[in-house]
Amino acid sequence: VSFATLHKWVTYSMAGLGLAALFIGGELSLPVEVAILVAYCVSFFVDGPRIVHPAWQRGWNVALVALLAVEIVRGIAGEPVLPLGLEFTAALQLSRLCNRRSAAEHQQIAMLAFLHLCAATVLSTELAYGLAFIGFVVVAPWMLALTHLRSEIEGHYPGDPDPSRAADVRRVLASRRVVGAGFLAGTAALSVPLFALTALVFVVFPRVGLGLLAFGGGTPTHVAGFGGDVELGQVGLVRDDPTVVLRVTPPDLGERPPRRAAIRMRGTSFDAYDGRRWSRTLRGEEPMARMDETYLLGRVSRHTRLDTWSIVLDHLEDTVVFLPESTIELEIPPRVQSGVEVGRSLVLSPGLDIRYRDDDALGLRYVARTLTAEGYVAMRDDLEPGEMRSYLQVPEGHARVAELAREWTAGAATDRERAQAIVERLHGFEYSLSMQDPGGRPPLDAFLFEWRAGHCEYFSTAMAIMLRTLGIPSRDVTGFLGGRWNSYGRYYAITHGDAHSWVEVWIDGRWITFDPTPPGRSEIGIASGLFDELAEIIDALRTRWEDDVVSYDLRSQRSLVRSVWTFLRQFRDAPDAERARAETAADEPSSWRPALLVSALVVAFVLAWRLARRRLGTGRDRRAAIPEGARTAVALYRALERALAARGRGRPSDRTPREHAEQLARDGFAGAAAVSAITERYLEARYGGVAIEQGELARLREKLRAVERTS
Amino acid sequence: MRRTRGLRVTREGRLFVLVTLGVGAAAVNTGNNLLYLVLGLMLSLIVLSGVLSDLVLSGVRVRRALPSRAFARTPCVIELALANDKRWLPSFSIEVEDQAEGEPTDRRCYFLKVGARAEQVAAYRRAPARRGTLVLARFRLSTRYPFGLFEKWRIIEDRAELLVYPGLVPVLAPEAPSGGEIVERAAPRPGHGTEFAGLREYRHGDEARAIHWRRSAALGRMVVREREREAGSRLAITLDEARPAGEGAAWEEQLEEAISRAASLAERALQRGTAVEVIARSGSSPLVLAGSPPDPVFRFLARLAAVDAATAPPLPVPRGASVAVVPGVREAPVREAS
Repeated sequence: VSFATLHKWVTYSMAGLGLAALFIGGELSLPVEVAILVAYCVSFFVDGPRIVHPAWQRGWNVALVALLAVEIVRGIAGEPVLPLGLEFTAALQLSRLCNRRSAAEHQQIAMLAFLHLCAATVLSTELAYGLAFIGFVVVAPWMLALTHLRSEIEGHYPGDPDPSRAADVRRVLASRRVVGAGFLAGTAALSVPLFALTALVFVVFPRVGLGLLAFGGGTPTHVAGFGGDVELGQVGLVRDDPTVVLRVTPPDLGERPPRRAAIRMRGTSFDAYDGRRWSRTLRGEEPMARMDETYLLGRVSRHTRLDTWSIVLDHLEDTVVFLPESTIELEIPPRVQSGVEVGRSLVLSPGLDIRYRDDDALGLRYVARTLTAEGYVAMRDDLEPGEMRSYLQVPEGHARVAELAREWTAGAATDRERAQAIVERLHGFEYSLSMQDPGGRPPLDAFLFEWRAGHCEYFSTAMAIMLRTLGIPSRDVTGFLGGRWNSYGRYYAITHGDAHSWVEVWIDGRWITFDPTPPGRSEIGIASGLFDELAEIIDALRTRWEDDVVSYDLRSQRSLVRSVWTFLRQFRDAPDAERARAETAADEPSSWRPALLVSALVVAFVLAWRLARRRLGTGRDRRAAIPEGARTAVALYRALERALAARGRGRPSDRTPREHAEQLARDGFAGAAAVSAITERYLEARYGGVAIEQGELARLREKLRAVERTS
Repeated sequence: MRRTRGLRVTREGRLFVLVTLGVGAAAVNTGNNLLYLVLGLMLSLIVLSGVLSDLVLSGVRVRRALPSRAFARTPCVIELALANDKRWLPSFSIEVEDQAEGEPTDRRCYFLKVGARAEQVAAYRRAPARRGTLVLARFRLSTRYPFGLFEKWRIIEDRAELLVYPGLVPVLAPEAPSGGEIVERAAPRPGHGTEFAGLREYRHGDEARAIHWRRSAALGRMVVREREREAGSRLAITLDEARPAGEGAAWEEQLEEAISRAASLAERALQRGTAVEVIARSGSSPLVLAGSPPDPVFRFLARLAAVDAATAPPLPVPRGASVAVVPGVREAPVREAS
């Protein structure tokens, strides 16, 4: 590949990565993104004489000024400034791509791409940014090195009036000898130390910042069912959405955890039902009690056995903290602001609705500790009269529902038995996502008496209202139920499609969970295949990215320093024998064999390729770097070198032409004077810019023939 | 003590460092880890740039090959050979400046790429400002590779001397002295006459047109034609280098012009078949026979220095035909021998 072609590809890679980084944030509208993409592709083919035409550049300048004016007007009209700014920087990049005449434009392209990369840091914290960044780590050394070389090539003919010099620049740029596979491989290999250094700087640079993002970390995920109210049927209709929103590592996982698990993560609950919509009417939000990093939901003895769940919650629109059943305390690491650890602010509302207040767009990582079943049974409480009223509220027009409830629970002696009876009856219904419009009827009437099929929201609502008609306090709960094992990240991934609702019933002084939805629900949407594997890998990477990069802070740094110190101290204190054993184990040959084999194959391939390239090299390439005016002199000198070589007087590679001519004279070579004359003239023509005239060329050829006649 | 290594931030480098500081400030201010990543990348590029530019300049050698003749104010070509002794790594984008003592270097040699264990030859034009010994003292190797952010340089001491002849100027050829000194001789002497006198071994400085190519090829060594010299033609060029009392820089310039004229006259006279010598107060050049290279005269003139008129010996009076070259005065016609 010629220098110019390689530089063009690398330039487009760099610019493309910058534009892709802008797209990640989702701030640009789809039509704008498509327009940028099309212009980017078209600009690749804008080449040749058009690019140096003065009218072309003027046209672009006018277009950019016009675009800036339009953006300003749109900004004044109230459109968000950020997308307008991004549009303009993208237009600037496209302008440079369409005007890439010299090294200066390529430098501007590189700078704009860096600017886009920086801008994208406040647009998104997604894994996609990490991929774009890795792309930059590989491409940036290529781009900077090639642009520098181009600048140097152009710089050696600055403003030369001689048109042949400009042709020389073009010829060098067209050369395939300047940069080859070795250069590409070597520069690509730079990305390894570059990446290591970047990681080192990233890890050790003190995190003393405010810890606040100027624009937030992208758009949060919207999940229905966790806001102030929820309409019947909203939660259960997202079964096919595979977006992961929660990653849960339950206690006692064992060696091979099951592929699917029914992990119930409680979000919030609703107390008031108006016949179509659930809402929360109970007020009394209060901050949660905190001890260091621990938030308490109840008090237990120090000796009580607790199970530990690790949870990674994505950035959701509603900042609900999801809890496993029987959670008694939460442990949430503090945020670091200006070098100081600040505890997270959690608020608890009636209905066990826990939300975090200081949304930093990074989601939440926390540990939930749960009581064992026996421990939970021991916990008892009382409901306030106001709460009791709310949890017994039944909207008007549900007389048939009340009658059905009595019918289904006839014979049940306790509240638990009544609840269980309703669950069993509802399990006889069909789980379905294809719902009809109930029209003017109450949806529950249509569900219970006509369709006898529905999704989780209908089942939970029916059960809660039926229990309330029987005087048993109950509430509708929304959350997630499910979990697919991710073996790469070693956690259960809970997706948007696992959104679920169920019922909590007040029995014997505590809330007990009942799930009236038939088991058929879990059979929907389970798929496995290559794409699912890939999705798992990406999600595991995304989690690592958010844990290790996006959420890295002063606290993480301290922890890392402690770990390193502990490791070093252990190593220092280890007895010599153990150290020797450890070293022997590390040098185990079997573990290196595959790596060695792969390395050998790569080296063999590279060597073979280089050999093939060398053999297939053409004379055109060798001529490429010779200035136009010196061609004749070079040809003449090459003929002289061939003549000398044929006479056993060839020029060794460590001797310059002039040194060789002098050496021949010292050796008494008969043609030394002719050699000297041709050499001096060759040097003058090639490096002194004094071209050889036709008459002089004839005389020099005569001298060459004299050398050729010398024995 | 002279520094042998150094570093300079380029315009692009200053901009890059400025942007890096800006990104750093933004990262510290916002605590945005992705900005810390970008900051890490930019700092790493700076570090890598320093290491690579050191690698480029390490393990390289420079040699120069000087021209056999160089004249003041006239460009000559000096060859530079850059050898890269590194086993695996090529060196990219090296600029070599051949630094002379007391004289700036306006042209540099640029080596785009020197492969591993390879050598590249380039040359540059230098027009020495004045005659005399030009001391080429050292090479300054510099590179902005790989990213153009910094220019690293390194000095390699390598001393060489080039004797610069006086610059040649257009002069009227001196008339061949008609009644010159009669030199007694048994056989015709070689010169630039029209009659063929024989062949002799080629000597360095002989004109190329005098080479007898056919005989050289037949003999296997270079021979030149000698032509019979015009009888009795010998010219002495007198040059008074004594500085009159009170004269300063202007006179020095006139002396330089006079030396150039003397050199040019000598060259023209030799071309016309006249033996030439230059006589000055501080000595005289060897007598150069017609057809021989003028280098002995040039060398004498290259080293000629002004002397104080009060203490200098008198200017010798030439025996034969002569022409006087006086600083600030046009030459008089050739004075015939009395």
